[in-house]
Amino acid sequence: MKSAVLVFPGINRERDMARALALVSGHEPAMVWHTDTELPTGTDLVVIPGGFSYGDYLRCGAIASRAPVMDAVRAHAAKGGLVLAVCNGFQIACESGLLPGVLMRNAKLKFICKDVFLRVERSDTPFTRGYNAGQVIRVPVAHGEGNYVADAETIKRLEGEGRVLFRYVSPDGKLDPVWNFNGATNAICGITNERGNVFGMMPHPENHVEASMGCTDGRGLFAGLVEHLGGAQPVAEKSTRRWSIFGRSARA
Amino acid sequence: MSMRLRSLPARVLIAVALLVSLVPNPTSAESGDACELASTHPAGVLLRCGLQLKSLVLAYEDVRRQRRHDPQGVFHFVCPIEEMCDGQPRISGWMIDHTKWRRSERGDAAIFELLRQPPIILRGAARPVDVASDPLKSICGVFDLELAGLSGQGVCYDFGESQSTTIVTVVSNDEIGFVLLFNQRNAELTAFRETVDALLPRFKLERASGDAYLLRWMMP
Repeated sequence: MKSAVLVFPGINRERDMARALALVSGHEPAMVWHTDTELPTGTDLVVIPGGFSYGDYLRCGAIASRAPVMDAVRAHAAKGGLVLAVCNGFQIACESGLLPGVLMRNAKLKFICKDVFLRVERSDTPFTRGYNAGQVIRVPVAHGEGNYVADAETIKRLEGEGRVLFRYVSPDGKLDPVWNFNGATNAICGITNERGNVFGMMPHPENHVEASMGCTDGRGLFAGLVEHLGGAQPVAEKSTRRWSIFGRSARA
Repeated sequence: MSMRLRSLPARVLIAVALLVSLVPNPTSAESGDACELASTHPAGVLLRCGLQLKSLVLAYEDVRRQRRHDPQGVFHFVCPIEEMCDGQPRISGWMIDHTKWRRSERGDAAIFELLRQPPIILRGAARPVDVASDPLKSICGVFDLELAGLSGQGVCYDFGESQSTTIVTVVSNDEIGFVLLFNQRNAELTAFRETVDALLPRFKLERASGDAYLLRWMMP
């Protein structure tokens, strides 16, 4: 698996992402600077990591979405190449038109940094095949503007076409406004584009990939990508935690 | 023979030379060009002009709002009781390199370029070295304005899907410069511009005077 991690001024999760990719795939990703106009030849996966691109002063992701490298990312996506956009990356992907909708300020207008629970809605996509449908995973979030909003027609299409891959849920997998901490529409946490090759999510799976991090629930996402792309490395074990709507010890 | 200067006249000569070097140069103290940045605050600076200290801080006169700043070097005029600012824009800003700005064309592209740069007080921050190839376009052109006695320009950006509009103003004089952002959701542009126009006279550039004030300003 040949991956590329984009780097913008103000991004601060690119090293975490690179470490996670290298750990799971066995291959170091290329770090691609925002002024580059081309991706490395043979790139399978482009990752737009989290952080505060250009300080997020104007609007989260608005300036990064207009960086030269984003034209190359749009071209990569148009050819069917995979794009993973996390946190600020998700905001950039929405602002650049790679994904529909926008990320608004959290419902309580506060920056939130904590672990949250996500339910995997389907496991037949490149981004979720490392999990089981219905599985609940624990992943950290750190954002002030992660409240996913789109017009009613877009939401209807996202839901109808099965493009919502993760939702914020309670530890036992139930939809509950209390656990939808940022107020996202339909508790949407991660979505794909129409073609299914661009995926954006607010939480940080790259920060839960090693036992030393206290949890490895994020590893399944990268393992799934490696499996999908036929990576030489064996697929990492699926999450050993049994957070599930069917109980802590069951698998969906 | 020892190289040390033992004679009294020689010692006196050296002492006089040292004293002369310590006397302030009146021209440099009075000249604006001679001012150096002594310390910064997200909304202001402390300048050392010869032996004088000069403090400039941007303030907003409205009891409903308080100035706060974040670790990214951005200040915000926030409403601690948000309901008191219903229908009012979010206001934030940061200090810019005013000399660079004043050398620029001060148009649409120059304003967008400023928005790509971190606040000047973040000296170690990564700064883009390229020039934006695809700047955002203002939906209201570029207009002139005055704020806190500083002159400047403004533009309007519309972020359609989020139903959010931002008016960006850039103001400066020979000593200091700021970007100020006014952001509001679901705002009709003409009405929003009128709202912002009404807010501009509330900004003041506080000029500190007196050692005690400066000392307090310099305290962490």
